[in-house]
Amino acid sequence: MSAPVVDVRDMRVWYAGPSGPVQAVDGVTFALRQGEVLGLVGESGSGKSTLGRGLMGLVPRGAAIDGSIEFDGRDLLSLPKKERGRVRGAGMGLIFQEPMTRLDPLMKVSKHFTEVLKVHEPKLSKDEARIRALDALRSLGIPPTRYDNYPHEFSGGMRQRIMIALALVLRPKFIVADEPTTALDVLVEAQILRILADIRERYAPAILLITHNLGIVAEACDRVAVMYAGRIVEQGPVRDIFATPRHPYTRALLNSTISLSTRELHSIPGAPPDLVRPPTACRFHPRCEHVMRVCADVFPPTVRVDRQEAECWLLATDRIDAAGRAPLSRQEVPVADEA
Amino acid sequence: MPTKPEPVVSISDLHVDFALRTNAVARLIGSSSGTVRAVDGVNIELAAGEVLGIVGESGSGKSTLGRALLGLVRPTGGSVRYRGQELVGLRETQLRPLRRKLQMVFQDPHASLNPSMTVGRAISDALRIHGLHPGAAARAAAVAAALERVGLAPAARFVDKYPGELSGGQKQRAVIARAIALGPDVLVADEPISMLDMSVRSKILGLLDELKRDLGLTYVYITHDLASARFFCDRIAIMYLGKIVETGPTDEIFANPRHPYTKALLRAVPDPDPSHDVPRDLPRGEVPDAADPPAGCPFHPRCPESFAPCGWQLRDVRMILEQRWTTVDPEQYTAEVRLAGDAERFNAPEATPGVGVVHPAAGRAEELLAVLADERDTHPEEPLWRGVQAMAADDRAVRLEFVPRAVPQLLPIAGSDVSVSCHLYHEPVPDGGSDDAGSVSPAQ
Repeated sequence: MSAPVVDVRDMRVWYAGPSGPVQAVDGVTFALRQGEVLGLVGESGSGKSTLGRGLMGLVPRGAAIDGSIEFDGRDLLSLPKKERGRVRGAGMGLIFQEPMTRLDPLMKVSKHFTEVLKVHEPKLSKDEARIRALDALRSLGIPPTRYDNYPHEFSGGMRQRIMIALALVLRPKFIVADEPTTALDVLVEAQILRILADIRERYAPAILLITHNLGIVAEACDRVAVMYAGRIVEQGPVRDIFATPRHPYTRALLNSTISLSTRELHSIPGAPPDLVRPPTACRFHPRCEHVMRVCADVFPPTVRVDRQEAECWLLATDRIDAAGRAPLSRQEVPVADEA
Repeated sequence: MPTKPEPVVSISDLHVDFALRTNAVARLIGSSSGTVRAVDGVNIELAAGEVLGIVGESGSGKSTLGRALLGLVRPTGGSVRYRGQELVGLRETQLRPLRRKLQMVFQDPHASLNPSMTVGRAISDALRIHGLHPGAAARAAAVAAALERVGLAPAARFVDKYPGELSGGQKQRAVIARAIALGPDVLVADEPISMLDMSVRSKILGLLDELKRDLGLTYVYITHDLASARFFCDRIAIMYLGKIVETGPTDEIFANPRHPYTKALLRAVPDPDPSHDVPRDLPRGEVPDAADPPAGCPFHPRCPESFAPCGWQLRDVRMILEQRWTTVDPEQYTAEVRLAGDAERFNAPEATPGVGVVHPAAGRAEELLAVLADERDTHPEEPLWRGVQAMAADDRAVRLEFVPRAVPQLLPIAGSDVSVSCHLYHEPVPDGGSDDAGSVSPAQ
């Protein structure tokens, strides 16, 4: 197997919150190979966006980042700052949720492209740059007649296509797509997902697709990593995880999703924890229906089951003594605290 | 069906137009450069105790319809009756007593609550305005009962909380408490769960379901999310550009969608089952500008099943050409773009109904005609060509004659409870050049 394009080990990001340091990403490890799409799912506050931005070096001022992020064989965090920016700028692309907030309203679409190409590929002539830009736009279904329009002259879906074209024009090896379809209508969302599938076939970049929508993961990803309170609690091939989720949170999340085949509502008791003072040991234990003594005392091990990896004591019961196995009553939560 | 019970709400031929104002001067003098038909001739009846889903994408008019139902926007025409009483044309003071019976829950719970007012105060103010539970003690008891009813229990913990101190789900519960405290009959819920996290959505939807049964409410559930609509609604109306395109019992619509738009929506919903494949045959493009809707059937330019009478017009030719230019090689499109000239030329109004005339760069009509003919030969399957009767060039312009257009009407399908607005199901009745809603662009 080829070496991973992105290899992240024990990455941590924390920043200052009003009531103390927020541990938004708390030791995550994963890798992405060429042509692979990894879905990163979680609810708001799980740290999934912070993780995506952390990879790109876009953390808020005052935030700290730790661990190792290897991109194309080089550890980004140990590179000098300038070099790090250069490597990221040329090799990593980012697609945001709200294209309108990322495109400059006073700049023609053509200018967005020439600026990006001028910075990262200064050797390109003007005409070459134009052809590269038009090719990227055309491959996303934007006619060349629109090349000199301003961002506001496009519909939401077209703007997102322009964002994607901008990310692709440098032919990055790695793309982070942060909720790329959340602001879009159902049909346009489906069009964008199809575009992502086409991009995979044509350019085979590694893609980290951040979303809260499990339907999108099922349709667009090869593997999935489930985040809860700053940790990846389970990861593995999408089909395996959707068929046999190993972590109780993954199972509960899949169950609570309302899909076209939903006949009965399920929900997860309680609410996601405060990341300033997260629960001891397993972050999910206060909401878990299988909680044991050990879950509140000792951090759970990462256990490999077939092609899946999950961080849960239920998968390592042989490593717990009888006292640790004693069931712990799930924290009683009034309905009000659940939402 | 046996004897039909009196509907709670009955809406007939409802129109809501919004005037477009382009600049500050126009705004000042009140002149307008056109109108958006946000709701364009909608008929709906709401039976007691049912959940009616209004499903559509952004810009479909679904929220405007919900607001018009409560008298929050003034309809331009048509009628909204609540238990026999006409709401259209009522003054604010006449509407107020009815508002108690017709309540609304909005998408963004944060924007629905005054940030400087405690949850308890928000509810008790509503009670006071409507003169319910007079006396401070009685009101406080009613507030507490409403809070506990929606799960904000014990009420004492929440009554003095400001919205900023609550989570998204708790805020939405508070909004629902304020609505039910007034003892409503009908609740219009506009995307009540779409801003919430996945695991919270099912809790709020469950609460709405419970309240409906316990309090005997009738719901209008407005959403873009077909999955929750399928679970929650008894009946569904699918809206596109201000019109209902298909309506009927939820089970039947999902089991056997008829309108091509409904079919497309259903195919497009991402399914959390990895064994299904991404659909490949999606409608092209996006919802068009509501200020300038397509002629004929508003869905025709995007419709994979459209055919001759669906409403083809000159501007659809532009769409086809732009599609072409994303595939041909750079030299060719540069030449063709120069030939076709400014794309706005394809938006020219029709001097003769059904005939589109485009003036390309000087004296090059024959060349443009050749491009169009080449496109037709390359993509004969393109439905637009079925709507083009004749195509010819003289020395100045290319003339396209279109098949007479027809606006589809929402009509019942025999042997079902479903109504569909589509030429595939009902014989098209051509406009006959009349000044019909769809065929004339109001923005001219």
